[in-house]
Formats: sequence, structure tokens, C-alpha cells
Amino acid sequence: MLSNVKEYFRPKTVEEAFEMMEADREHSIFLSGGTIVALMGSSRIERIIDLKSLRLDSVSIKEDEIVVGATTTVEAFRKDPLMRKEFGDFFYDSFSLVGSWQIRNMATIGGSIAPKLGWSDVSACLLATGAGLMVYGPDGYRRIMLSDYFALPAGEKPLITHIIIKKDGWVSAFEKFSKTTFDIATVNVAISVRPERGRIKAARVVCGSRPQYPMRFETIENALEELEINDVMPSIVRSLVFDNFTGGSNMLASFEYRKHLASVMAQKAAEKIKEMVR
Amino acid sequence: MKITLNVNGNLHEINIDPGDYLLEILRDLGYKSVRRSCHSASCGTCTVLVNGKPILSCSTFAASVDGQTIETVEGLSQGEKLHPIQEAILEEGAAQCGYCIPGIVLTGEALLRENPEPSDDDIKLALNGNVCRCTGYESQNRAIKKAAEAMRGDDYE
Amino acid sequence: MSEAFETVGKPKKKLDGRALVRGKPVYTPDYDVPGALTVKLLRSPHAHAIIKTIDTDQARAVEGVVAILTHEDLERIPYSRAGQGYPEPSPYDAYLLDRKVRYVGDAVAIVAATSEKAALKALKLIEVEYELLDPVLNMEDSMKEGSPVIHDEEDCSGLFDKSRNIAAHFEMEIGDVEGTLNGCDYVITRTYHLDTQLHAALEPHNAVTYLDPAGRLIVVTSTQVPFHCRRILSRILNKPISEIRVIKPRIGGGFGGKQSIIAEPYAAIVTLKTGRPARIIYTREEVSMASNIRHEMKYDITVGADGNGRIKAISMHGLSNTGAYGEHCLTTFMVSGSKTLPLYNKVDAVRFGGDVVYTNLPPAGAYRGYGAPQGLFALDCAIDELAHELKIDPLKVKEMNSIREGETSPIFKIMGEGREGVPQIMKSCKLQECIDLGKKAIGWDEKRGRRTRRGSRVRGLGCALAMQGSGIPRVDMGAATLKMNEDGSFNLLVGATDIGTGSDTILAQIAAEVLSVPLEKIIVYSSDTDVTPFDVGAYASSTTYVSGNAVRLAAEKVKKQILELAANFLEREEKNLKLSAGIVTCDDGSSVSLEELCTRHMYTFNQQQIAATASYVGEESPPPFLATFAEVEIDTETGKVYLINLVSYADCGLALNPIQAMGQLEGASMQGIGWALYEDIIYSTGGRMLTNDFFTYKVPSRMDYGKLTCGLVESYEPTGPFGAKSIGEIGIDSPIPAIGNAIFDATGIRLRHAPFRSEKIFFEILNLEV
Repeated sequence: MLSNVKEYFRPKTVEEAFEMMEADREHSIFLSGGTIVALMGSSRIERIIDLKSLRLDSVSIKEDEIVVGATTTVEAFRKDPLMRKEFGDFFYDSFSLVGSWQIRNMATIGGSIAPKLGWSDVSACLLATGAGLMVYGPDGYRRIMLSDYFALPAGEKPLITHIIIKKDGWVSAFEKFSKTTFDIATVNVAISVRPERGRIKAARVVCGSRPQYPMRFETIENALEELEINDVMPSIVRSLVFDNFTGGSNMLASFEYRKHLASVMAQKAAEKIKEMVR
Repeated sequence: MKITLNVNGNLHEINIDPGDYLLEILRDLGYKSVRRSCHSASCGTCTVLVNGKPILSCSTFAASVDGQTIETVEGLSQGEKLHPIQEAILEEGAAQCGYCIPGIVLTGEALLRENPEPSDDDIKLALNGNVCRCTGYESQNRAIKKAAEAMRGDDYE
Repeated sequence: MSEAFETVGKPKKKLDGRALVRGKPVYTPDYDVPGALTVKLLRSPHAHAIIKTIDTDQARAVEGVVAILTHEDLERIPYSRAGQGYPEPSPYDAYLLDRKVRYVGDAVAIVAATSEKAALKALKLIEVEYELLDPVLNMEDSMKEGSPVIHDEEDCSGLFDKSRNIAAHFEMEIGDVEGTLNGCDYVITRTYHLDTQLHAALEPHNAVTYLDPAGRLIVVTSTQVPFHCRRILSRILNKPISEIRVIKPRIGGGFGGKQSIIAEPYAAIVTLKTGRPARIIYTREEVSMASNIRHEMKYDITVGADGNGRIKAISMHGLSNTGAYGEHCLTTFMVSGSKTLPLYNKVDAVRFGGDVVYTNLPPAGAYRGYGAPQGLFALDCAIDELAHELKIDPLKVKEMNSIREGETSPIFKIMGEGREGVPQIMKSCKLQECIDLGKKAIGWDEKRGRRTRRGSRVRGLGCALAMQGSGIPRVDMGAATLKMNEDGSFNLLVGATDIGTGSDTILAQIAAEVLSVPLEKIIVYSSDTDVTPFDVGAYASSTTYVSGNAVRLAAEKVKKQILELAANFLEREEKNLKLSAGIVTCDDGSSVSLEELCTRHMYTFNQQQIAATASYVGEESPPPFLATFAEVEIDTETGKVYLINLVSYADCGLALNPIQAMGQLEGASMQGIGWALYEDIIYSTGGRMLTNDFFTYKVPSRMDYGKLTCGLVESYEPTGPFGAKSIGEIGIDSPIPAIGNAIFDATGIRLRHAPFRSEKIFFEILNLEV
């Protein structure tokens, strides 16, 4: 058991959930999938606010946007017919080795983003797709970019209610390097490009598990603009990532090794994109 | 706090601590097939089905599944008749120490409900989170495949 | 051969299988003991320190706390945690609690409370003042002059040289190694280093203890060695053996990790001090950091050969890391020589020796293979290197220098476990058949040395040969009792300890075969020190051979009784009687069923219990043999090794139960694959194990290998029960050298330090290319 927990809340509304958190931020935690809360095993937690009762677990389409409820599980998300129709195998394949089947049935999309975990494959892929978030904070609802969420100061933790992904014709690919198939990424790379007449019109390049949280590399993205999508493109992506990668060392890999891996993963992702565009 | 659990068709109204994990509650209720091994959501030993889906009871708060339908391996075999996966596991020698087996039987069952004709790769992916330290996996993968065949056949009701 | 038998040699389902697959409450944590206190241990955050003061006042005040014990409350009794034969060839260097802590995780205090919550709260409130000592965190530093002394206490015993942190030392030489090497055409000297490994059994170490109505201590525990557990508890608790009963239910995996007495004493001491039942269950982190791990070993090896690849001399000098305590220190070290070097028995001279040293790291202990994998990594890979220098197929070199049927090695006599060994001649050795089948299955001749490329990936093949033993000769004893019931069934009581290996099933098969009854007629019970006869337990690949022979002898005694009584009952000559399919028949057609015979003898006629007990001690230890082949693909851009196929063919004599025997081989192979590629143990600079959970310590999953192809060759060991030898350990010996050799074949990179981490391989490849 998580021994210091004294209260368990099932808020009915987003507003209520946020107020419960505000009442005692230090000792409270939002519970979505539960895997991270259990992993932390923190004695700080005295109040659990279960977000499942908000029923934010559907995937819907609104004009040119897909709106994903934050408590949609990773497995439901990757297998959702709408997601597969709009994004093909991108999410389906990319999330197939997030934890295990059990974990994917528990972990939620919102819960994968919120703790700002470095290794999250979910965060890396969503960043690359330019996802936005609907969040609820002290000033009510607002829509922010996922990248802005990661940049929020540590104390500021609005409640994520929806993830919004644009249906904008970008092409995405993801690659992960991990020691075993049931393991967090040593490094992961997600790339999205907007192709136009055989060239990259715009790109998003994300590296995660650096080991810090996933980050877009704008220098690389800028350098890729107007690049022709041909056989040498993937190796150009590789060297750009190699030259611009920032990150550090931890138990899984040294910085030097990570940099190499990131560049190789980026090349592989770019190969996939090349194939898809052709 | 008070919650209700439907475990293998039995309704339990119970008082729990808000920090209790499902694993501990199920064991206290007598479902001893649900066992702890790693306590870091990394081995699959404690797998149970919630609303038909395999999840890890070591990392699921009991309060979060209030009112939901839970299946453990105790509910799978009727009387002396084993579930086809259980039977296949014995035939293939796929249980050694047996500690991982309830989780494997349940994950396998959930897979076969969703996909009655799984490929070798489907089986490996579905059960990749069920760690076994004894067998080397080959016999277990074979057993799931064999059970799938048996369940598709006429002799399974 | 197996066609001649009714029950042995058949792929019988495990007798305990139905209970296991249905999730029945069969493991120690499933045994409800009302009112059992929760026992938790306060553990040291420091690798090396003296406890100056412990303040337990606040902790004692926590509601629900029943007892807190520190070293001040316990009698100081040095002991060895090693569950080995007595007297143990391991030093007495451990204390239940001590005023000195010797690794991060060492026990400092015992807390017993009515709930887990209270126990955990109390743990946090115990205040300990430590005087920090310099730690020894590297085995290379341990013997150096000026290194801190880890066991400086006066009352420890059996250590080789405590002032230099040497727990054990061994050396032997046969022939003139230096002289022979001087005469060799080719000599190579290399250093091989193999890191430690976690057992990672899924059931954590745990025990529950209580006093029976007569005041005897009952210990239900997840152990491989119930009788050693009872003896060691008797010493630590200062309580006669007659007042202790150890019960082993089903065990959720052991692999050697439960061959030491780890958690039991802490629950037992609480029960004795409070009179109340007590339960201890280690957390995963405790199992990893504070039970046992494998001995890290490093070998300097020299191999000399003539120009044709005939190996003339081998010298191995090793260093082994026993961690903070010395259980199994000498014996694992000796086994790394004694269960590897006899494989290459055609040498003129051989030398083996070295030191086992203490460090301030988690204590090492028994682990499947028991030193043999560490020795074999050096031995096999060095021979592989030599073959490449000679430009001869390494398999050919291993093949022509290895042992065959009818041969021997002088090492068998010189090196036992902790003492002299026993000479023996190989009565069964189908190593050539293993090689031939494995070679074909992997496609050795077609694929080796080709370095086939597929994109950034390059393929290679490697091989390794291995041997093990079957019990410790003239040391390991197993006994069995067989008693007959009036329905013609038999209770088979064995001290042999089924830890998931299926030994209950194969022992029942042996009894059923001798008595010519269906397997269902044998009801096995293992193991309970009050009920079953003595057996050393599940280790040293002993159960099939040693305990199996005991069962065979007991069944033969019972069979003799049955025939004698039947002769008397039928008024016929015993020599004319035959026992078959549960009926004793005379050649004149008269007969009596076992059911009727036993019922008569129980209730009405010449009343007596038909029963017998038999013991067995091996006079030798026939080795199983193994040929392993690995095919790997290395991604030269990431350094990642993909295991395409691992082929292992074994000679384990007659496989009493082929599916269970295959299960041992496959499981051990996978454990070896995990060790080779994934199972890194990483420590902080202060000596804390960072990879102490399954989130960070990666045991292989289903998708982490390509194919695993195992097979058993036909063989018959005349001294084994129905021709059987052991199979429990050998599979783990060979994957590391086979994979290491395959990586070399693919890349030209010789990795002499395992596990083979992708980062290391990547930078080696980079160096090659530059």
C-alpha cells in the first residue's frame, strides 16, 4: 500500500479536480493510469485525486483536429480506429512497445505527458506531431502547445484535459533504442515533416530520453527546410542530429553514445519518412 | 472507504484504506493466485483482468476499480476441468516454479478473446510483459498457440 | 533406451502442475497465519561503517510495534549463511546483527509490528549514528596493502587471511605448466572478466514462523535447503534441532539464491522473542541488494598448443569477489576450475589457483552454474582465440581436445568442492553427438567466418562446449522413504527440494517405474524436516542423480518386501513371482493385487507397514555435457547484439522426463542469454546497487531473442537412476562464451569483459573503423 494516503477523491468535474489539487498541492497527486504513482511509492502522497471519474477517455474529431481525452489509455489510443484512419501506423507502431500490454492498458496519454518523464515515447511522438493541450489552471481553460507545457515552471501544473492533434498532412516517424523490448528508451527520436513537391517544407525533430525530457531541436528543423526528400536526406538528418544533440549521461548511456544513437535513430526515422513520401 | 468489487462473478463489498493496491485487497479476499514479485510494474506476475483487459494489480489502487469486473485465474477453470491454456501449459511443460503462471494464463486468455488466431509475433507482443525466469519462453508461447487451436476447435464449448 | 520403460523417459505432466496453473495457495506467502507480525529490517545506507549508537525509543512508541531488536539484544554467534554440507567449507563471518555494517543493505535492526504500516513507520524513526569507514568497492583493490579490513572482528573463523581481505585461496598444479608452455608452438595469455548477476527468482525471499502447541519453532520458508536451514537456525538461535521444524512448500524459483539462509532467522528470532507468529517478505530491492548475487570473477589465462591445435598446457589464475560475506566463496571458486578444466583433459600440464576476496558490496553466493560459467568464459574464449591465431576452425580445436567416453582427467581427484575430489572415468559422454547435432542445426560450416552483411548489420557464429557434474561425490546425501497404502498407492517422502524444477515428478516416475505402478499411485511429499528423510537439498545438480538413486533404492527395497509378502500370501516361491501393473503374478497364474496385499497386511494377516527408507551418496559425479552454438547479428551503427538463434544440445544421460529436462536446458540457456546481453548491475560511487529492481535490471522478455533451439541426445549413464545424469545447471555455462565468440566472428572484436554492453561494442567498432 501507499501508506500515507488518507483520502481518495473522485471529482465529477475538471474544476472540482483542480480545486482539490490546489487545496493541498504538496500532499496531493492526480491519478490517471497509476503506473507512475506506484513506481514513485512516495510517502509524500496523502491525497489521491482520481481523474478516471472525469470520463475524459474518448477520441473524437472536430473539423481538422483530433481531440483525445487525457485519460484515454495508451492502448486504446493506438488502436483507436480514428487514429489509425488519420495517422496510419504511426501511433499504432510507435506505441507498441510502450511498457507492456498491461501497462498500455493502464497508462493514459495525459498521464504519460504530465510527469514530464524523460523517456516517454508518448511525449516524443506527440511533440513531433505538434500536438496541443487543453489545460485547466487557475485562470480556467486554455490551449497551449505541448512544448510550452514542458517549459512551464516546476510549480505550475495545470490539469491536462485533452490532447489535440492537427490533421494537417504532416508525415511522422518514430524510432526508439532500448536495451530490451520491455524497457524505457535509452534514446528515442520522432520526426514529422510537411512535404511539398518532394521537399521538406517544414519539420519537427524531437529527441527524448536524453535523459532529460523530450525536446524539439529547432536548429535542425530550420536546416531541414527546403531539403529535397531523396536518398541522401536521411544521412543529412543524421549528421544534423549528431552535431546538434544536447543531453547528458546516466546509467543507460553516456552522452557520447546517446548522441550517436540519436543520430542513428534519426536516420532510420528519416528513411521511413522518405519511403512514406514517395 | 467502502468499495464494491465483482471478482469472478462474486460480489464483494469491502472496507479499504485509500492507499491500498488491488493486489493486496484481492489476496486478503482469498484470491491468492494474485502474487507480488517486482512491485515496479515490470514483471506481469500480478496481472488480473479488469473489464476483460489485463492490468497490473500491484500498481492499481483498489479504489480506482470500484464497481468494476475483475477476473483472476481462480475463476477460469470450472471444477476439475482446466481452461485450455492451463491444459496446454501442463502438456508443454511451460510451468516450472509456477509463480508467473496465473499472469500468463490471464494475459493469454485476454489475447485469445481479442484475437482467436494469434501469430507467434502476436503472442510474443501480448505476453512480452509477463516475465518468466524459469522456462526460456518457448514452451509457453507454444502452449498459448496450442490453446488457441483447441479453443477454435469443436471440442471447446 | 526409454522404450524399455513404462514411466521414466516419458514426458509426464508435472504432478504439482494442476495446482500451479490454477493459482492454488501453494507458496509460503499464500499460507495465512493468523496474527503473524510483520517483520522488517532496517538496512545500512553505508557500505562500511561502525554503528556507534542506535536510538529506538521513538520507533518503539509507534502504535502496533511489538519488538525492535538490535545487535545489543542478540547473542553474538558467528555463522555462515551457506546452505552446504556440514561442516561448511565457508567461513563463519556473518552475524544476525552486528555493530559493524559491511555493505549498503546490511541489516542494522529488526522491527516487528502488527501491521506493515506500523513497521515501516517505525523503521523511519530508528536513529542510528554511524562512524564511517573507507569502503572497498572494487575487488582489485581488496588485497592491496593499506586497504580497509572488512572482517577485523576477533570471533570470525575459517577465513584464509582476514588482514588482507582474502576469504579463500586455492591452488593446484598438475605436471610442469611453465616447462610445457615453453615447449609449445603457440601460447596466448589473456584476461577475462565476468560481472555479477541477479537470480531474479519471481518469488521473493520470505518465511513465516510460529510456535506449535508444544512450543516447537515451525518455519515455513521459500528455501532450497530445508535441512541445512534447520541446522543453521539451530546454531544461530541456540535451540536444539529437535525443537525446529522447517517446511518447504512450493517455491517460486531459486537458481541458487535460496541456497543460503537469508530471511528465515529474522522472523524466527522475532517469534522466539515474542512468542508470536512472524512473517518476513523481502521487497524486490532487498532481494536484489541484500540476499545473494553471483561471484564476479576475473581470470588470467594462458593456453599453449602445438601447431596442429593440440592443447598442451592451461594455466588459470583467478580473482573472485565474494562481497561482504563469504558464503560459498571457496567452493564456487574451485568449481570454476573443476567443472571446466576436465573438459580439456588431453593436456600435459594444468594449473588453477587464485583468491576470493571480500569487498563492501552485496554478498555473493550460490547461483546456477556455481562458478563454472565464470571459468568457462575464460577457458572457452581463450581456446577460441588460440584457434583463430592458428587459423583452425575453433570448433575443431575444441572438438579434438575435449573429453570423451572412457576417458578421465586427473582434476577430478584433485579438485572437489572445498576439499579433494573423487577420481572418475566418463562412463557416458555423448559430447560428439551434441557437437554434431548442434553444428548441423546452426549451419556452422556454411555460415561461420562469412561476416554476412545486411544493411548496417553483420552476422557471426560462435560455439562453446561445457560440462557440469551430478551432485558432490561423497558429500551430498539424499534419502527417500516409501510407504504403501491399502489402495495400492505409495507415499514417497523425500527431503529433495522441488523448487520448480519438476524433481517431485521425476522422483515419482522413478518409484513408479521400479514398482511397476501408474504414476498416479505415487503421492510425493517434499520437504519437511519433521516428516521427510534428510536430503542436502536442491543444488549442485544433485537431485536427479543423488536423490533419484535414493528413491530407486527405497523402491527396490519396498518391491522386495512386496514380493516376499506376496510369496508368503500366495504360498509360492518368490523367484516365480513378478510384479507388474499393480499385480503380483506367479508363473502358474495365481495372483494378488497390491491393493489386496496391502489391505491384508494392514488389517488381518501378518500385520505390518510395508515401507522402506534408503539413502544414497554418489561415489562419483558423472558430468552432463553440452555443445552450444550462437548466431548473432550486430548492428554496427548502435553496437546492439541481436541473438538470432541459440542452439544447445545436451547429454544428460537418459532424460527421465524429456519435457521437464528440456525446460531446465531452455531456462538455463535464457538465463545465460540475459547475463550475456542485458543483465547489467550498476553501483553508485558509494556502493549502492542502482539496478535493484526490474525496472532497471532487465531480465530478457519474450521478444529479446530470436530462436532458442535446444535438444537432448540419447545417452545412458550406468551409475544414474535409469541412466540419468543432471541437467539443472549446465545450460547457463555456455551462452556467454558462445555469444562472445560469435561477436568476434561477426566483427573481429574480442570482448573479454561480459555482459556485452552495446555501448562498449559500439565504441570498439568505431575504433576499428577509424
